Amino acid sequence: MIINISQIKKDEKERLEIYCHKVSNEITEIVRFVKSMQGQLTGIIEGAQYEIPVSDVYYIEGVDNKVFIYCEKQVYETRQKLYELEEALKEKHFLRVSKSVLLNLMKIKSIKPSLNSRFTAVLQNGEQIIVSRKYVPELKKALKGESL
Amino acid sequence: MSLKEILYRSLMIYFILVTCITAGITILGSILDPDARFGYSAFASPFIFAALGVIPNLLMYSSKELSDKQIILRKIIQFAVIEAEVVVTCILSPIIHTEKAEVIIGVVISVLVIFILVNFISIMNNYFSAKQLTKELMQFQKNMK
Repeated sequence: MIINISQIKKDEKERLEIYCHKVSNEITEIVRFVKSMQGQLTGIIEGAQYEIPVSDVYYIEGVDNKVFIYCEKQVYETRQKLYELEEALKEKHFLRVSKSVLLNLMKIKSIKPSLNSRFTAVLQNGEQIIVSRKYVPELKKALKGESL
Repeated sequence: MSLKEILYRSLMIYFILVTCITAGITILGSILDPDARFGYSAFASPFIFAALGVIPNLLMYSSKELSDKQIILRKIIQFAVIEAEVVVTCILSPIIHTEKAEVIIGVVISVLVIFILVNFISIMNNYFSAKQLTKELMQFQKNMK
């Protein structure tokens, strides 16, 4: 695949065009990645695809090789890997808080202590997510704006 | 918790234990055996008992994230191991009069009180950290909006 990057004038709209013989899985993945960088995620419910604004996402969880996007009331499945989403969403206030969960810091209502020096993040919809001890220093840094 | 975290936490617990055990011996000794006199070697006992108390903290080590139920179970086992260690050490010690039932009961209760106290200090420390994190979170959300 030939990759061309051209600089354009500031008054022109930025665009990404893909010329391909077939819309393969790789192409779909590139599109998903770019969308997630732009603040859109693609979620699936019973085979139907939905565009989800990143700002509506509460957290993303990996369960048995599947990745789920949790919004206020709806849960979507996504074909993107957790590490890909972590990379794409780190500028969107998402932070890994345990081995399997990426949390939207803007959706946390409060943080309360939990057993064994862990913390529990209470989300705006009432759900509770465990913040592993291992990720607490990252959370502290993120809240101070050091890693975001 | 990783092994590094466990060791760091154990070191903190060790010094809390030394303080609590010294206080425990002072209170228990003045009630049960107020006329007892000791040599300088007695100063070592809080350090020895704290070391005995901190070793079972390794039971909290796990390469995987423990569930709340697993943590509670391990805490119970940890407490039982500490009680057994301390009581056996007291029985083997020539200077502690374990032939008196009240001494054994006093030791068992002291271990329970110190165990609760150490965990309470840890919970309070965690509580204030959570409060501080919530404060920083609110500020972060305000700045990002």
